[in-house]
Amino acid sequence: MLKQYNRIKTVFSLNSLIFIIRNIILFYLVINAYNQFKNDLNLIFICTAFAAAVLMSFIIYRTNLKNIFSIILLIIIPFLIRIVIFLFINIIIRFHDIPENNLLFLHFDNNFYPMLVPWIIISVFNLSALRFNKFIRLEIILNVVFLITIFITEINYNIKLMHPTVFAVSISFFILTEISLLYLLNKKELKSKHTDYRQLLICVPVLTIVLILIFLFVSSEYNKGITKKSGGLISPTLFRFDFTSYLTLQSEIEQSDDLVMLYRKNGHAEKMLLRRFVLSDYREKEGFILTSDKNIENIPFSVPGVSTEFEDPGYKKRKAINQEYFIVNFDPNSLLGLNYPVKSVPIKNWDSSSFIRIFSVDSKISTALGKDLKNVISSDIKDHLYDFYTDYGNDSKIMELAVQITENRTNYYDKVTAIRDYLKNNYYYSLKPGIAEDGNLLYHFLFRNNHLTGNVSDNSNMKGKGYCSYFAYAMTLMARSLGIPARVAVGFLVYPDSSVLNFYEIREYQAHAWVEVYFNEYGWIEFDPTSGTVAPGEEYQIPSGPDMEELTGLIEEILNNELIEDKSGQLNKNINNGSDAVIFILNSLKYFTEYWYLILPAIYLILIFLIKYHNLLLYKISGSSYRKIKHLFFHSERMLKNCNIKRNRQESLVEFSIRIKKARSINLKDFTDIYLKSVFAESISENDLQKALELYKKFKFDYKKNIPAIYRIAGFFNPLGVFI
Amino acid sequence: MKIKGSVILLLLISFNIFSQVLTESGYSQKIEEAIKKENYETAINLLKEAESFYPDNADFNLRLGNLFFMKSMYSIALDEYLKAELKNPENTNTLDKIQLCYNYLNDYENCILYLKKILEINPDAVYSIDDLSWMYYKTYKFEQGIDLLLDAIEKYGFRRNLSMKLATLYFGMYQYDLSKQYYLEAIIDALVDTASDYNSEFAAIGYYNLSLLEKRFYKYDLALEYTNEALNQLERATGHLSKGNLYQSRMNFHYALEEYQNAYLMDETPLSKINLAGLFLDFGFLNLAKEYAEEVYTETDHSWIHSFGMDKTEHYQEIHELLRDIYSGMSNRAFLYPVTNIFEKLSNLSESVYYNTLSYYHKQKYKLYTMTIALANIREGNFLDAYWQLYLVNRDYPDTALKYLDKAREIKTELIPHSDSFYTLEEGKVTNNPELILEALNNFDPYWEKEAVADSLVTLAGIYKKGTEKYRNVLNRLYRINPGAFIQNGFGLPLEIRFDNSVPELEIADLLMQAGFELRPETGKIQALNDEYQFKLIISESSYKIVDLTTMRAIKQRYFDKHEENKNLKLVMSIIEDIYYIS
Repeated sequence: MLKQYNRIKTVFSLNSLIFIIRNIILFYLVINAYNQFKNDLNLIFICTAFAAAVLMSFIIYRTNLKNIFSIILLIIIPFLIRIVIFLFINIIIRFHDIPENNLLFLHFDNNFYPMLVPWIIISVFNLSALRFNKFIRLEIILNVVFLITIFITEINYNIKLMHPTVFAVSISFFILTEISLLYLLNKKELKSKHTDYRQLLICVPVLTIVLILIFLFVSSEYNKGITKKSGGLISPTLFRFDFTSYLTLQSEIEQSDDLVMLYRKNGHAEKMLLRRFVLSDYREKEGFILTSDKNIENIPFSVPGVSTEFEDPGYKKRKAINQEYFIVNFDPNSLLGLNYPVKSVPIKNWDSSSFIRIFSVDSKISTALGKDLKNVISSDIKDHLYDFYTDYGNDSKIMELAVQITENRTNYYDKVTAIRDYLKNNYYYSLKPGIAEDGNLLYHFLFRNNHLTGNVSDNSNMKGKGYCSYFAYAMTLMARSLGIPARVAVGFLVYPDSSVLNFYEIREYQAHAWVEVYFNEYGWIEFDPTSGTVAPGEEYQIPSGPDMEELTGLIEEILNNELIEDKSGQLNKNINNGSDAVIFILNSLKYFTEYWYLILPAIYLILIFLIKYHNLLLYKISGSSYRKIKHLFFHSERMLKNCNIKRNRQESLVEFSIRIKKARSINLKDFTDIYLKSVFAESISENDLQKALELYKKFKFDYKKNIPAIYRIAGFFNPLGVFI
Repeated sequence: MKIKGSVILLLLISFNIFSQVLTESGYSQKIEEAIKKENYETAINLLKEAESFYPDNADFNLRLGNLFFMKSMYSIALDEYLKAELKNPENTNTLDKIQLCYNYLNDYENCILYLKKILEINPDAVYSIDDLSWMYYKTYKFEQGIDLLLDAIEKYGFRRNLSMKLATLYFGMYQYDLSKQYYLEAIIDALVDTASDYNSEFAAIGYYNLSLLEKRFYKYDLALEYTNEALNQLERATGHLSKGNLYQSRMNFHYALEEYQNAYLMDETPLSKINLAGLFLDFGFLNLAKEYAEEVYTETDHSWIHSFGMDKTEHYQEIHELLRDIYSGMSNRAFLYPVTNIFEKLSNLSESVYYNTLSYYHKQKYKLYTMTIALANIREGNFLDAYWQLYLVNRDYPDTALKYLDKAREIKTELIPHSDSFYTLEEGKVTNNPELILEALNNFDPYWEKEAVADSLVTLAGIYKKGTEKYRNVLNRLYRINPGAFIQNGFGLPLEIRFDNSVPELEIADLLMQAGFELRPETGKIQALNDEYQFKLIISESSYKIVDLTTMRAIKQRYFDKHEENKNLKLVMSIIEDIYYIS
């Protein structure tokens, strides 16, 4: 009687715990959804409605109403509450008819309707879970679905990420509570129905992996979405965003106007190309990628922690120019600079700064004019570098076109400008270049309507179209095919119109790709072949000027703080948006995202190995003979369980060993006797251990003989074992 | 010897220190040079340095403020001006800059505070009186503004600026005669004085305001006349917008569009985009309407509002109302678009729910802004506008809505008797009473108030039961005014239909009915003028024709590719676009 009472008590307290944890998860989801509309909704109303929904579901659960009526009642209740509250408001108005009181209807409804769907979810979930244990399993999955939906609608592919610490803690909390829910559910079943406890051992790691997998999938989809939305040039990094270290072409891109950074340069407002990477290693299938070979290119691409001077090649006609970068939402380690940077100085950031990093860069920009560059006859670049910078995949079609375009141009500079002008004047700018039938997007762009090759369509809509990467890609390959060293550069295009008191706002849509061509003595000179003519039928929103409200606040902050060199040699504290633990988690997540296809099977294998072989491992490390025999015997049992040969609930070990001897011709009987002896005997001799080892080997022999290899292997990989 | 050395060292140090510090004029010169070269970073650093060396000199703060003000950075400029005010509180130039910053930042109460400060120091600053009266208008303090201006006119004699502001304040109070009188006096004064180009602009603004006044009092011909005068004086975006509004109330799409497009070309504010969005919405071009409205919605710079008789709240109210209607129309449209399978239907349904949710969101936001305006008007005792706004907020709560509608009606019909029809229409909408709507409909000016007529017909069609004679008659009448109103409100035109040989009748008829059309097979008889089916659709193997049965003229004929994939659906979509003129 007492035992039964204790069991009831345990189950009851477990029920309460499950009830509480479920509602913690639901509240977490509601608050996440509320965050999106926090300016429009009232938090007190939301919390009250949440509590009311939980309470109502509990009250209805205690009644004996049929399920369908219970659910209908739960849906009707909010409307009944609304009627009561409206009656109450009417009474107030009767006594005190002022506009403020008349507006109470509106205030109520403003929160009431948005809360209806959450109300239904909260109350129906609670009721269903209270009435059907099995619903909790479904609930765990539905919670994940809701969270992903909220997450996707919340970020909406904006490059403004949630604070990494908040994000990491939030997701960890969610996973932990979900696992707790599962654990408690299992425990409850264990107490009430004697369910196999091992389910939990399997489910918890499986659930953790599944949840991580789902988040990784969402994260990878999100990354793809971002890259597409960011003009195909920007992708998320660990903390913020950076340019991709490769240049491939996409059939369609979008652009967003999220603020990336502020940039300051003294003097007249002008168009500038702030370089992030040069992509010079051409591979036919992959496109242009960033080379890691320092012997070929040694361009700095991260901001050093201390003031650093970079190698100055000493090219002719260069002018020193200072720039300051105030990073808002970009990888803080990314070095940007006008071509080419010679010095970088980190600047001390201030407390509660809106910027995650500040640094200044001294660059030497070219002032060479066309007439100077015309004097360059050939390239004096070293042989192996020359081959590298003129690699165009021996594409004869590209070369033919380049030769045709530069016909009658003998001068090196003239050839380059002829290619640039050809692209600028004969192609359209488009964010939707379209899909190539044969998959070759460059050909689709370049040869769709080539008047030089005679493939001209009368329909101007058939003219090639693409965004900046297409133009840069095509020009680089064409220049290279003529033996002119060229490379693609990616970074931001700065518009003079966005200048306010020497500050320039840089937004995501300003991500750009252009071409750098090498000229003897003058170095790498920029050429921007992107057409300014938008494809017919398409609209491109030309920026109308800076967002003064946002810009004013940021400039005010800069002007109110002194810009001094940061000599601490450390990254700004704002860069590391979280603690070391969070950084570790995020780093791990990053590796997961990249190598999930290797890491996940590895984790699975390790887990399976631990589940199936932990007894054998314990046997190896155990000191006493008794423990060694015990673990060896348990391992033998585990081997049988892999093939779903297991002891029935009422069956003794001896009965079991006799049964499998009869049914499967596997001898475990003698080994069982030794094991039982080890359990009940006062002492165990070394001989007993030796005997147990021999019997184990015999058992293994029988096992292998009688269980086909295919089942044994399948049984190993399947956490639940296989039926044979 | 030691003392002598120390003195020399001290002298050297002090010389060194003083040699680093420029004189005030030295700083001024260097600052000017830096600004000229657009080296603003240097200029700002010099100004800050100068301020630290000459902390009592408010001029450096003023100049720094001016630098920011020039670049439209009003909040930082304001900080500098406020510092200058602390050093020299009596400087009206500084106070004027401060009030301007508050004005551009749409902080009208502080703007009023500083204008009053200026007038305390210099009661004869007529420009500040002018500005203050404008602020009174923007904060609905009409009576205070009128008192201020009447005093000023009495004291300083007639000034056209003051007269114009006085007229606008009377406009706010629905005082037609006084408002018109002061507008005309201001305009005539500007027209007589031909010395400056600004006079034409002033007269143009005056005529524009006058046209708004006439429109408010339902004197449309005069409104058009004054709008034309405004444009004759000077072509301004607002003149075109006003003219476009008048054409829109006549439901003349092309004329209105032309005017709005003219305005768009010269407009530096989002007003032309708002008007274009409204026009496209009225006539069923929902995608275009959405594009313009969303563009305005995402704009963050509202400094343009300072020179218009509205505030940020009113601007947001207008945008949310537009978006509410656009998304609602898109939701209805998605629901009505015909489909050939369940997946398409589900996709359309989800699209419809999505737009409906967006519409709901903007409806709530619209109500919240309307509520703010209502309460502001209540505070200032402008009960007509307050009651009207309270009616708009409470439309979903008929009892409360009717209470405020009656209160507004009582005041307004006393001022403008013709407005009664509009109140009757609103009452009909809230109570779903077709009699009231018909009553209003009969009282609207069929030429100038066609927009209201169309609105009444849409409401009536929503009340009448589908498939009834009354419903069809209302739709026929609505179609002749605005075919674009149909699909966005979930209506379908009653159509007599004829299929020529070898056309898959059932499938096409089904798709047409999904799109809301009420179909009747061809009767073969000549239609009576009052027949419920006034339009006929004739579909043959490779073409279709839409015929107006009252005139027996084809209003549209189109050929299609009979071998095309998914032919029937494309055919029906093409018919929808042709009938409703929404392509």
